[in-house]
Amino acid sequence: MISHHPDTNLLVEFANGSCDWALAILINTHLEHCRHCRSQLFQLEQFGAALLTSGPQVAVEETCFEKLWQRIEELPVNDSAEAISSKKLKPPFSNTPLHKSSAAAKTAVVKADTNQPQGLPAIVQRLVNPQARWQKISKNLTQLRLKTGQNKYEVALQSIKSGGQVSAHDHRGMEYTVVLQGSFSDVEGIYCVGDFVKKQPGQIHKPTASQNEDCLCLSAVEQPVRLTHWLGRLINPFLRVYPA
Amino acid sequence: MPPDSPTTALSPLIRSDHLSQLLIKVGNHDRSAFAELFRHYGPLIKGFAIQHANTRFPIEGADELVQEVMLKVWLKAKSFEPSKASANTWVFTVMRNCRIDLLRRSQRRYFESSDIEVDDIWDENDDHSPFTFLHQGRQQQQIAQGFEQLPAEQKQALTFVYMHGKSHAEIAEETGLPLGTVKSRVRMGLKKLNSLFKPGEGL
Repeated sequence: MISHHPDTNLLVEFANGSCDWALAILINTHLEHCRHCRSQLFQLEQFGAALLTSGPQVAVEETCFEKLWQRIEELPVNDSAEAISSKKLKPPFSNTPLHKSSAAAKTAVVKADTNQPQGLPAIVQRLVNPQARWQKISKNLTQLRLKTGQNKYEVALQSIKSGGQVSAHDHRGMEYTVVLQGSFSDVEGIYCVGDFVKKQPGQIHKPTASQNEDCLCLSAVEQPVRLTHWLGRLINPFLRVYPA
Repeated sequence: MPPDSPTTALSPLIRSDHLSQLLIKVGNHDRSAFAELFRHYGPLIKGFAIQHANTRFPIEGADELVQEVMLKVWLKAKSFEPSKASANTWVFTVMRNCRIDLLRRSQRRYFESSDIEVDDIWDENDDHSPFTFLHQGRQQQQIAQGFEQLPAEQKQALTFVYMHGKSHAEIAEETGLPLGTVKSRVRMGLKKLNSLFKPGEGL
């Protein structure tokens, strides 16, 4: 049951194409799980269409169509309509094998020859580089940084060990998370698969994965977190994010 | 291709279905259907482009944008499914994706290493829940009329959103309004438009 969604303002920025690339990736993964937001988005797009088609019309240059048609005739064969539509925008799941449990997912990412493609959103599968290594952040937290083609957010897969707790921290910038597998909780709620979680500066939390299963999340972080325990004062100045 | 204002004689309802038919034909490489679609959408896309012209999309580039969008329409028409979206909504999403793509290409030095493309994130062919789908141009006309009747400040905010493709932060910067005000105007305007969708009508 999904109970945390991107707000209307964020969805409308997705609908008009102005939201940050990294957030768009997270929203896309949320949309794969959330029928409610898919239909919201569709409605926002219908508004856009209504406004486009009722807007002012300006005659195009007379040669515009002929020029375009010439370009179409000059397209290389493999760029033809069939090639594009069969290359297809998004297969339901790519062939990159990833297991269901995040522990297994990690193994699968390292050795990409297992063949049990399981329920991760297509876009995540596309972003995972099979050669990349998971980093151990703390006792219960490991992460795999992703290269997404933008320079504002550090985007990463994060895995919290079942029952494990992440150190209490505040946020120095926005932090967005979509739960991909398992669930975690903090003082503000429980977050399950598909949930879209937004944390801002001042929201101190201590995410804890549920007992029965590791929790795998996709996250986008604008600034390094600020650890709130006493040791944090020593560590915080050295924390960095690596947007990519 | 002399423009002969092909759309004025048709009711919005027929027109909307007719546009879908044309798109399906374009999917089968029908040049004359494509020419007709071009006559219909070309001037709208150009009108749109001129409205939100800026340094990144100068007015002189409006015809190029029309070409880019219509090229994508030609290439992707095969994936259009009339049961999932109206032609207008589909073309709107193709145009939006085209704009994102052009913007990203203009900032290439940051982004060339990306493995994913615009269409991977913004999928025009997503499987929307069917109950929200409104075939008719009639609904779209109502929305457009409802839009005209919005309070000026909500209308302005939504114009920035949809016509200019701006984020809330950009709108706040351009208008000098607090971000929170921009966000709430957008939400209120959308809420009013939402109320124009009557469940059960136009399905």
